[in-house]
This record gives sequence, structure tokens and C-alpha cells, in this order.
Amino acid sequence: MSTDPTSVALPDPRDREAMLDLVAAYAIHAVDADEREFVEAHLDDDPAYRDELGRHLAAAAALTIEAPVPASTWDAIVARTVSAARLPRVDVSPGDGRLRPDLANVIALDAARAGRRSRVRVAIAAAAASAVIAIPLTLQFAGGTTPSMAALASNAAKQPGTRSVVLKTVDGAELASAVVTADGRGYLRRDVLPALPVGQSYQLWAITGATPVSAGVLGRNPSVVAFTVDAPTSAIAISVEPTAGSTQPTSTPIAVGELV
Amino acid sequence: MTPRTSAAVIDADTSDGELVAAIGRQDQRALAEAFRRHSPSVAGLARRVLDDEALAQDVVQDVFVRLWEEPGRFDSTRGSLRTLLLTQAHGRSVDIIRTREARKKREDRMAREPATPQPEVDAAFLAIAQAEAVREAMISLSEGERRILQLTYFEGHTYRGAAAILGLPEGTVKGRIRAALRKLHEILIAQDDLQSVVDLPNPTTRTSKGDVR
Repeated sequence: MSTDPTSVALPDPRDREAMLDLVAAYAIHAVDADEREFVEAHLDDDPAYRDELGRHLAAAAALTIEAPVPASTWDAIVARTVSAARLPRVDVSPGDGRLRPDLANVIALDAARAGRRSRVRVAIAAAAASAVIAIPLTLQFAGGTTPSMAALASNAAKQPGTRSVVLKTVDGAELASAVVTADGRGYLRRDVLPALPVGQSYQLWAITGATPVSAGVLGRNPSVVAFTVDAPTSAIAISVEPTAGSTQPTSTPIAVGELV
Repeated sequence: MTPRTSAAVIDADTSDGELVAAIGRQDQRALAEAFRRHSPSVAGLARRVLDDEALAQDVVQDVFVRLWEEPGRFDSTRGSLRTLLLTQAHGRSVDIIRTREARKKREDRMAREPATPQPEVDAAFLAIAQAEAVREAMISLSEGERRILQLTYFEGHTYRGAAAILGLPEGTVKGRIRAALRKLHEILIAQDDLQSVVDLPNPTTRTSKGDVR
């Protein structure tokens, strides 16, 4: 849509009126990623910023009308909160608590192949231009799936022409799997994707030839998610991106798989 | 882990703050009550932005699963639960529509077809205003302000994208977004029945989550 890939001229933080104008756009998600981070970094500079943000959010929240919600939505929430949501958080330490997306391709899973229901230690080593930062992660799997979504995925897998994909790291560790129907509807299941720090999100990419096209922003801690891809898609990839996602990958994908 | 049950009563009289506290104790009855209260609005906003029922229901799921996983994001001194959930639903919907649009642009380039015409602004925008108070507030906006909110809030454009579409300076668009939101708030807060419509935070602590997403 209108995410501008060009560089953004950010206002002078001392320009209060310019900051308040930007806060208003931020309140309705009408800024790009750089501006969002800029606003969040300066929200506490002036009490007026948070005051006005609160009023803008409340006003925007009025601009909605109610719509019916099918019972299946609540069923899916129950399934996700009983199984997936109780997984322990990834413990990220030491350092600043942020993975380095541009370096996230250097990933090693020393026990990921042990499969589900096992305690897995995930070590991600990120090498900076002049330094190497090791970020040990620990993840415990409680097992279980999301029945509603799993049923949808299962049904999709049985349809004629459905292809499957296992997303692997460069060293062959399996991080996630997915099925994609002939008409492009897909279901991704997280197998060994650790939760990301605040400010980052997994993003799914459909690859046709050499061109990645976003198939969805998955959030920091995705479980089973539905997505759509173009029919000629040959492969699927996952990268770590800013929370709002990117129009093109800004980091080397942490896992890639070919649809077969 | 299976959600625990609690002896505490969870019903229609339980405040949103108490619900969130109970959700923090993994009481799924509280999540159910929060869902009963707020999911229709969340679904309505997501459907309006996405124009896709299946994706809208995915957003509803994501918003309430996030509430279950991260109840600490709710701070009653910074805004109402309804505002928080709708803000998250809007952010998630915009994420989806922007990635969907990126794919569509590529398809359009390949097909060399012109972009889909935009719907009539005022009709679509005012259709939202079922509540009289909201309708009055919307009518108070200039046509230009409504157009900008239509492009940004409901269609997911950034202010920069809206400026390009409208042929206006970016600063003008930002200023009009701010002016429009302030007008909406001023008019809505003057309504006696405001709380039933908007559920605004306490005016003495009118702040909200900094993390709009």
C-alpha cells in the first residue's frame, strides 16, 4: 500500500507541533516503521504527547461498528490459549535483548531435531561486522496443537494439488512446516520458532523465482497461522523484521523451504 | 498448562480491570467475558479495514490470544480495555492490508492493469456512524478530513501515501489527521452518553498505551 521505501525525514524532537502531528498519525498506524520507532522513543519527552495519544486512540476506537463473531473464532482462541499460549517465554540474554535481524541467518539449533515435547536449547550466534554476539535461547515445548487450525490444515493437506514445505535453517534444522493448497491457501505451523523481543516480528515470504513477496506478518510468537500465496510460488521463507513488517526482507531469512 | 478456574465471580458486572487481572491468573472465564464484551467491535473494525471475513476473524483471534498472553499490556490509567483491543486490532489489520497490498501491486504490475477505483468516501465513512454521537462527530469533520481518515484509518495508507494520493503536502495531511482526531474527541467527550459509545479513559488520566500495536 503506501509504505514508502524511501528514507524518511524525521522531525526535530524539539519541534513540539511537528511531534504532535506525527503522534496523531502514529495513533492510527499511518506512519512507517522508522517513524513509529521515533515516536516511541520520544513519547515520554513531553507529557502532552501521551495525553494526546490517549485521546486520539479513544477517538479512533469510536470509529467502529459491531459485527457478529462466529463460534469457531472463540473455539480457536480456546485452543490456542490452552495449548500454545502457555509455552514458556524465550529467555533472551545477555545483551540488549534484541536479535539482530541482519545477522539472524547464523543460527544453530543444537537439539532442535529432538522434536516436539522435548526441551530444546536454541543457540543463535549473531556475528556483527566487527564483533560476535552470542544470544542463548531456551525454549520448552508443551506439545499440543490447535485443533481448529490443525483441522483446517489437515483438510488442506488432503486436497488435490496441495503442496507441503518444511522450513529449515542453513544448517538443516527444521523450524516450521506448512501446507499450501492449489488455490494458494496455506497454513504454517510453528515447530521451533522462538518468541522474538518486542519490536520484532516474524514475516513469511512467498518466493517466485528470485522475488520474495510478503505472505504475512506473523507476530513475535506465532503458532498456527493461515496465509495465502500466489499459485506459482516455489518456496517459502521466514525472516525477522520490524514489528510492522517490511515490503521486502531486510534480513537474510532464518529458514527457507521448497514447496513440493 | 490448562487454565485454572477461580472461585471469584466473573459476570457482566465485573470491571474490565478485574477481568484483565483474572486473565493474568489464567482464568479463562475472564477471557470469555472480555471476548463477549469486546469481540463484536474488534471484528467490526477488522472487517471494515480488511474487507475479508476470514482475515477479520484471524485478527479477532490474535487480539484475544494476545490479551491472554500479555495481560500486562493493559494499564487502566492509560486507557480502556476496549481502546486497547481496538488499537491492536487496527494495527494488525493494517499490517495485513499492507502486505496484501504489496502482493497486489506486484500482481498489478504483472497484469498491467489499472488500480481498482476507490469507493465513495463519504458513504462508506458515514456508514460507520451508527451511533448518533459518532455520526455528529463525523459530520463535524471537513470533507478533506474525512477523506484523509478514510485513506489512513480505514484503508491502511500511511500519511505519506495519503498525501501522494491527494496531491497534498505531507505536513498538511499529518496536521489534518491530528485536527480530525481532536475534533472527534472533543465532540464525543461532550456527549452525555459518551461512555456507552466510546468508553474513554478517565479524563484525569487521559493517556494510553504507548505501544499502539
